[in-house]
Amino acid sequence: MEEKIDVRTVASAFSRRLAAHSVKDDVVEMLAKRVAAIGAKPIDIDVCQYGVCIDYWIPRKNLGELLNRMEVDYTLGGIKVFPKGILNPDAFLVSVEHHVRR
Amino acid sequence: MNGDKDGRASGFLHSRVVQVHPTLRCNLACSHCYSSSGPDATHELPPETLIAMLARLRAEGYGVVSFSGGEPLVYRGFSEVAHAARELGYRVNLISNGLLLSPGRIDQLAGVVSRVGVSIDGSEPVHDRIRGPGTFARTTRRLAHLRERGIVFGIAHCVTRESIADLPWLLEYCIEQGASLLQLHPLAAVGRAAGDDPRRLRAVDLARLYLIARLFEVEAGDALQIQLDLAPIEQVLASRDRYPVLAEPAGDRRPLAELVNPVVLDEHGRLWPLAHGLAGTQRIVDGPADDGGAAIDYPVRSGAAPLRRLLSAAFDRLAEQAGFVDWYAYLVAHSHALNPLRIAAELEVG
Repeated sequence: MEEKIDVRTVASAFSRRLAAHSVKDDVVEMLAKRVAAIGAKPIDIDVCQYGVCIDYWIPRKNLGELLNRMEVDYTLGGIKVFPKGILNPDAFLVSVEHHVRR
Repeated sequence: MNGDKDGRASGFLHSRVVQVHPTLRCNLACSHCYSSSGPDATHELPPETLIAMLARLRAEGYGVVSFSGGEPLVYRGFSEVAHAARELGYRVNLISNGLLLSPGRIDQLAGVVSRVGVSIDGSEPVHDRIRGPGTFARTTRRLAHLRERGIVFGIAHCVTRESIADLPWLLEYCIEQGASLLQLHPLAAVGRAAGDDPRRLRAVDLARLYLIARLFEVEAGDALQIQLDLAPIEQVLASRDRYPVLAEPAGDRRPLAELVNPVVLDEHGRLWPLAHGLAGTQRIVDGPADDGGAAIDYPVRSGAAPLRRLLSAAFDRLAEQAGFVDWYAYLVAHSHALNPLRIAAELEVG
């Protein structure tokens, strides 16, 4: 099984591509809009052949408003919401998949 | 109270901040300087006047003094005023180009200044092109002195279209140097960068910068705080109620710091709300001669005020836009756009 790359390594590689203007402008604008809509600090970032998947911890009280704010279009691969469970019933792991054209 | 965070935000800040520009004199004359500072500026606020004003503002609820300029270390009264501010109970911060932070000077700052912000414009060639040959190496040596003496420092970076490519390098530089903060401030259309400056960020560059800063937060973890002077417009609009001047009834007598935060004290002793460079109609206090006692008689407390009009118009205009905004730069630009003479001139041109 392929080993998952550390989130800091992915963040570093991604920020370098952004700084070097190696990411298309329309992708930059779409991602920035989505990340801004979520507002929270990303806790995990994964990149695959289809795009970018970003995970966040979101408090229960913000979840409904946040999902309402997300604009749905063809670049939104999906949003998955997982309860953290009995350890912290007020926290949810929200995973947002962004389809990015190469 | 030690002058730090109050807990409740006033404006968009938790700390109640006085930004002091005691002089616009500077040992450099950077081509992007928002206050057009340089060696030729001669005027400076007498230390006794500045200390008296800081005492009045302390009584108004402000808890942090941030010295800027010009270069605060060329201001002859800096040490005296910084000590007096500390005695008044302020937390004292200093924004500097770093070149004058000699070991002796740093020893004077220890125990008085809580954090030093040092400007770095990019990697060595970029920084030296803007600030002069050899300045990057000299400033880096000064950071070593700060580190050795245990003074907390951050790096302030003015982001231009050219310097975006240097940001990953800058993050590594900050961590290597032991900085506690990286402040990223988009080049604003004020001072020497006013007008159509091609170095300013386009809308897509602002989006790019926002993403890079969020990724830097992940990358740096707890090692470095990332401060981005840029916010999603939706977030700014949702925070409109942070400005009680927009809603307070006439006759409000709360301390000024609860109504206007930050305030800016310039080299003439004039007090301004929120940002350096606002249009003249926004002035709170005219200068040292306007010494009306301990409480500052700001018109906000007795009814309508220019600031209320400015904020209201700025929020309304912002609601028609999308993307990201440098709020304080936006306010400065908007305050001048609200100037009736300028509007009249623009109508004539149109």
